[in-house]
Order: sequence, then C-alpha cells, then structure tokens
Amino acid sequence: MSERQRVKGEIFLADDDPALRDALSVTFMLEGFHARSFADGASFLAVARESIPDAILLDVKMPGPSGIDILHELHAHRVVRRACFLILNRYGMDCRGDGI
Amino acid sequence: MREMAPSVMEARLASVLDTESDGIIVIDEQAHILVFNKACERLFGFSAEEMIGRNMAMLFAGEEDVRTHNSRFGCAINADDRRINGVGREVKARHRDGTIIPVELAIGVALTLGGRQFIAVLRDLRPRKESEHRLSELQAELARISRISAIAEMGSAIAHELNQPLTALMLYLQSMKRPDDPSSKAKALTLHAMIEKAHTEAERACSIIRRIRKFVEKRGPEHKLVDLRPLIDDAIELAMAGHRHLTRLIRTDDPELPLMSVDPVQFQQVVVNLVRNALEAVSGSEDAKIHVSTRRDSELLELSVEDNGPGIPLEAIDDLFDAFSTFKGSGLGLGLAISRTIAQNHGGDLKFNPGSGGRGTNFMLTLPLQRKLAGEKSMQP
Repeated sequence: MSERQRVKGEIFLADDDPALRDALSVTFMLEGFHARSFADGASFLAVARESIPDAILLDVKMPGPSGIDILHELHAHRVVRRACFLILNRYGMDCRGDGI
Repeated sequence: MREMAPSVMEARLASVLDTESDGIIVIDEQAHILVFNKACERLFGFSAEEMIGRNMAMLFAGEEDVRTHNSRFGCAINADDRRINGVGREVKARHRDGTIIPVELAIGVALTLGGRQFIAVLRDLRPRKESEHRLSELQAELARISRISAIAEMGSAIAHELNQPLTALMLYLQSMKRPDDPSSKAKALTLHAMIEKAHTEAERACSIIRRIRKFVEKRGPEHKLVDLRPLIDDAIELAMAGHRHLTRLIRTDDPELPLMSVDPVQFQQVVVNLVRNALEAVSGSEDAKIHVSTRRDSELLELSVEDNGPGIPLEAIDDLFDAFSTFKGSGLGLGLAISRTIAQNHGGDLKFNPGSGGRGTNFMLTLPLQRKLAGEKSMQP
C-alpha cells in the first residue's frame, strides 16, 4: 500500500459518457492519481499535444476524432513513446478495461 | 304474362324474406312491426309471432338509439327524406338475451294504400367486426415481431449502452469499498455523494431495460389519448443507442401539440424506425445531423424525421414501402412497410421526400387531429 501511495501520476481520460468519466476520475483520484477528463477527442488533443501525462485512457467512439484517430495523432507526435502507457476502451469493454 | 295473382306474389315475397340472410323488418308509421323475417328471428331470438304488432324500438339498445330511431322515422315520415333510402348506418341491436349486437341498418320507404311503410334491413356486423379485430390483432403481432427484430439488430449497441452505467456503477462501488482515503480531495467526496451517483447510474441502466421491455412486450392493439412528446423522446433515446457520439440530433416541437389518440408503442415503433433509417443514411458523413420535429395545422399533426445523408437511390423509390424490400443490405425490409400500415391504421399516412443531390431524406408521419379509430366507430348515427 505504501508503495502505491508513492506512485502519483497524471492520467488523461477521454470519454463522451459523463458518468463514466466521473466514475473513472473518482477511482483514479482515490488511487492517488491526478486525473484530467475530456468529453471529446478534440478537447483532449488540444491539451495532449502540449502536455504529456503518465497514462492515457481513451474511448474508441467519441464525437470528433475517435480514440484510434487520437492514437495515430499522438503516435505522429511521439507522445505514445513518452507516455507511460496508453489504454483504449473497446466498444462494449468490460469493467476491467482491457488494454491494447 | 298476365297480371300475377296476389297469392303468388305473396308466396314469392314470403320466400324471399325467408331466404334473405339479412334481417328484414317492415313497420308502419307508428313503428309497429308488420313483417319480421327468419333472419331477424335468428338475429334477435324472438319469433315473428311474438314480434308482429310490437314497436320496433324495443329491438334496439340504449335510450339514445331508440329516440334517434323514432326521430329518424319521424323525419322519414314527415319529410319523406330520400337520403334515408338504402343508406346504411351502424346501430346497436339488442338480442332477446340482452346481448348487444352491432348491426348496419338501412331503411327504405314503401307507399301503400294503407299509408307509408318502412322497410328496415339489418346486417349483423359481428363477422365483419370479428375479422377486423383479427386483422388488427395479426397486424399488432407482426408489428411486435418487427420491434423484436429491431431490438435484435441493435443488440450490440444496446449492450454498450447498458455497459456504460454498469461500468460507472461498478467503479463507484469499487471506490466506496476502499478502506482508506489517500488524498484530501477524496475525503471531500463523501460516501453519500458516491452512493447518490451509483444510484443514478443504476437507475439509468434500469430505464434502458424498461424502455426495451415496453417496446417488445406482448400486448394487443390499444389506443390512448397521450402527449406525444415524451413518447418521441423515449423512442429517440432507444434508436440512438450506440450512435450518440457520431450524430447530432436536433429536436423541435410545435408549441401547441394536442393530446393524440394513438397506440403508444406502435407510434414509438414508427419513430424508432424512421430515426434508425436516418442514422444509417448519415453514417460515415461529416457533420451527421437528424432533425426530428412536430408541426400541427388545423387538421393534422406531422412528425418529420429529416437527415442530411445522400438521399434515397432512384431505383429504390418505387418499392420503398414494399415488405421485404431493402436497399440497405441489412434488416428484413419490413420497417417502412409496417410503419406505413401503423400510420394508416391511425387514420394517417407516411410520406417521404427522397432527397439526393445534396439534400437528405425527409419522412413525414401525418396523423389526423380528430378521427375515428378502426373498431372504435361511433355507434351514434
């Protein structure tokens, strides 16, 4: 437990479902992370181009650029390599959130 | 041929009266029964012997009807209203055992040496009513099968839709289970607030299931006087499953939308069908938009579903409403056929503007503001 408390990091999450966004933010916050949430791909990209978090969580289907579009975009900016990890929510993902 | 002997005429008339499948009653100007044929004996359960000389009004149900008959007859007597001749109208007859029987009544006038006589021809409407009822039941069942099929097609989108609140709910519960709060922010989030949020999400999942269950549950045709707006909202919610993120839905309502007499689920079925078609039409296009609007004028209410897709291909227009015809490559091809049947059963219609050349498709469901429903025809003349 003490080890987990030491590991603080920033997580960006983008999902168009407000409840899911809130629930994920609460969960990450309680785990000791700082979570920033975005309602769509465009607002996420506007921030992610400038500031690189430790982890990124993306919904595949969102208004504007999809999770896949964002992945390509971030790859081009080499953010993918610098961010610690990146997880895509899949369509109909289960609650554990399978990663790529 | 020489003039026929009266006895031959009488014999022929008696034979015609007995063979006739419709009930025939002849009355005098005071509505006293002079002739009561065999079909009438079967229809009412009274013998001719019992009925001859009695007032015909006793054969009809309800004071209102009796009064109307008398006044109608009076009218015929006084004004010799030709319109009454042969024009059938629906009235309630009463069998000897009290059973009310819907009959079509046509009245003719005969001028005799002994004064005017009236010939009432009565057709039992029960077989027709029964087949109408059966038809409407079969149509309702077909409509339900089509609803089930629509839900089946939306299966994965609905699963996703349901997964959202359930995932949020699990995450809230997971957070509540934590024994410690490692940050000060977390302390600010009271347990109570989280329970509230979890509750909202559980409610959201329930309402999705409720909506689906209502949509597919087995039920006969029913007509209710309802506000269409919440029905439209609910139908859109259902149809938009899995598409919310990609398509913008614009909704406008006429501020003076009256209550309408509809079968609520069948009405919603038309809306779901039109919105789903529109979603398919706009899929993949930039700035996908669907506009659902209502408008009323003095006689009808129009629900319009307009998309900004590519329009309907020319070759598909002719058989667009035919059952099992589809140009989309998916689905049974029943949606529009059933939607139009539903519209027509409501006394309305379903029309479309096929668009193309930069304009999208527009479907318009029209419903009359005042109407008689099938099987709900007024029994009053």
